[in-house]
Amino acid sequence: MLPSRLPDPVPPARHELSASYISRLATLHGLDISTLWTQTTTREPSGGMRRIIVPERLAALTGRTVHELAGALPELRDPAPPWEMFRHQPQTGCHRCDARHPGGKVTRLLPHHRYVCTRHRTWIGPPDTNRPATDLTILPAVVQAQRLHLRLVRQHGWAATYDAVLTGFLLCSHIWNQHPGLGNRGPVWHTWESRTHVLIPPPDELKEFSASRLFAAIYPETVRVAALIASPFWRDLASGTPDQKKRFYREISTRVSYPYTDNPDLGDAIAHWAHTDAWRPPTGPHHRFTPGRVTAVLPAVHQGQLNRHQRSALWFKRGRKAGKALLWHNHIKPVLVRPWTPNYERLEGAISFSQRIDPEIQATTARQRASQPKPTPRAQDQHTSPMQ
Amino acid sequence: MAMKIPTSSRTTAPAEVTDTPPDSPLTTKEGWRRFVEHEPLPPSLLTGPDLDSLSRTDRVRYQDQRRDYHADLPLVNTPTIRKVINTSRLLVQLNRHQVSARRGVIISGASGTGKTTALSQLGRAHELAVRKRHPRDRHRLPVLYATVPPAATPKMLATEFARFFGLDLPGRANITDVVNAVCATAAHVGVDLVLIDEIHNLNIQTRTGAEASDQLKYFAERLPATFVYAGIDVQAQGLFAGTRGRQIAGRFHVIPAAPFSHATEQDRASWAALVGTLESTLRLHDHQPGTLAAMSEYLYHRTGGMIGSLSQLVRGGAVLAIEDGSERLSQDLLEAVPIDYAAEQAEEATAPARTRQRRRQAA
Repeated sequence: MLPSRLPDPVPPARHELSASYISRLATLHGLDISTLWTQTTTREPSGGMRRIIVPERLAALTGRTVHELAGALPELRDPAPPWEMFRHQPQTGCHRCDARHPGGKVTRLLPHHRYVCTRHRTWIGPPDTNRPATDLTILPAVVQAQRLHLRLVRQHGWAATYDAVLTGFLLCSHIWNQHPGLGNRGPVWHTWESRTHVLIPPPDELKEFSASRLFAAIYPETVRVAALIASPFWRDLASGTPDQKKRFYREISTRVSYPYTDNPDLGDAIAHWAHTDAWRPPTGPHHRFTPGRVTAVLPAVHQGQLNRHQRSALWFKRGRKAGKALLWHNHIKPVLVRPWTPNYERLEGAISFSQRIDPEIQATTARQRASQPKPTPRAQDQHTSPMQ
Repeated sequence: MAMKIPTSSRTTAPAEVTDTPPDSPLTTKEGWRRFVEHEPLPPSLLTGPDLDSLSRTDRVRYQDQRRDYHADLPLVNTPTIRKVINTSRLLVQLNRHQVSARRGVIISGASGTGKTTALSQLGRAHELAVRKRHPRDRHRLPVLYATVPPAATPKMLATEFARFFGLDLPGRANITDVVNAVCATAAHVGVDLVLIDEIHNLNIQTRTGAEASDQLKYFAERLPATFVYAGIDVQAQGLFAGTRGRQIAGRFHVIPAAPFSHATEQDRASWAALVGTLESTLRLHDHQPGTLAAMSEYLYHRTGGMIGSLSQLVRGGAVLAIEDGSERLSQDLLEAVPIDYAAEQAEEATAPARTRQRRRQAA
């Protein structure tokens, strides 16, 4: 039997998880969350303990059509959207957008290209430990970068843009992580450090630290670099002859003010990417979201994650080494540990590998490239699915 | 040229409301919304030539529309209804900022005196006024209407409130769960007037009745709303007796719903005015205005001054007049309309013995 319609079926938020929406409806009407969850879901066809939402029941409960609900709740779409386009981890969005949605915390499943709420100028992602979105009013460059990011998605498709932006984060993190003694720190370090000074003011690092905010500090330059990495033309140059490579290095130096020096002993992530990855197809995410949950109560942040966050804050307070915090963050792991990366026991190995360009790696890469029947530097069929 | 018959003469309600299943009672939010949005519109009377030019199908539809309209005649605004609405709307305003000890109204009287009608009309007037004030808030439910079930326990009472909202609570939910759900929902949707009908079903001389009465009081404390009760002879039922009763008596204003009187000249004039207003709503082809007003005294004796009986008599007469084609109300036609036993008793007690005289004359 279909449930009765609730007196005030507040609308769902965009990209909201069904469990979050049902939880808000239950809170508003003083109902038991588990009971409402059971009424609107059914056990998955395989007979497991996970429960799948029944769109007709939710429609009867809210008085909204299945079509309307599916517009906001990705889990209700039929056919299901390509889940690779979304982050596998649900998160909170812009707190000012959420203020319009009563009934408790709004948990959303955001697509990979959503980092900034351009309407309210707030930094949203990547997912952080229960920290509300950060105001970007005095950092307009970050907001503008989100617009450029969306333009990249329209031009090159979500898959190429996803790989390009994460690779951009990786390269910028390596640049930021350069040792001060190397003497090649340019104006871009000052830009990033001044942004970090605004986002995480010095005396309050323990309270204000957030790896997500560090990503915000390098986001504008990341997107500028990502425009090169996503472009088939620049990928061809990066993986081409030495002269073509030089042209690519010159361009990327212009975009991030990176004083590129062709010294293999120092190690260089950009050169590594040009030699090892540029001629291969873009890398996809490691994990994907799976619809269906056992309960509607969304779990709180795990204590282990909170402990890790606290340790990171402590390390950051000691030396304000932001580049290191970024390189160790899971968000860029898909481009740090690619399918063809050697299988290292610890992440340090993968980080070290991602900036090596010694002759051994160059020889290995040349062998692999020669064994490929036909090099395909540009990703095919990236526009097959519409963007969300 | 054939006249065009309007497809529906009844209502201006949106499709959402007309789609509501007809069995949704007034004690659910769907049924209540349907009641509030329903407004009978009088069908236009066709002239003789237009009526003759109708096809058989159109004529049947035209007659159906008028029968429907007369079966659901617009309500006459009686003095009791006016007093209930004015008093309760004032109390709603006075209670708006009260954190406790809010004042309420009890409508008390014999059956057939229009208590439920007054209660529902109060709710309708209040809801329409609130909607006018908040035209864009579609999910606001300012009025909660519930009836006290027979042999009510506190949980049954709370479940009635939850049923109005359509809250589907599991059977294992205890009374605290139900009350919390009701209060959270009522606060969220902006309930500020709670109407409780059939309050005489509460017998506070019994333990469950006393507990149910306490539950009502608890709701009155939890909900920021004005409570209006209606029931048969509430004073005689002992609602104001004892400690609980004294507390109720200290917070509630009683409005008696009595049958119309025919004792003084003023009473007779107000009854005649009521009949005249009712007559003005009729849509019959051959009915002469003033016929019903001339039968004012007969109608009083037939109905005992009960507004419910009068409404049934006139509506029934109008439907019969359309069916037999006479298209006008007469005393003979009204005699054929069955009315309730109480009114028949009143007729026997009060009506002058004119019937036999007239029969003798006729013979």
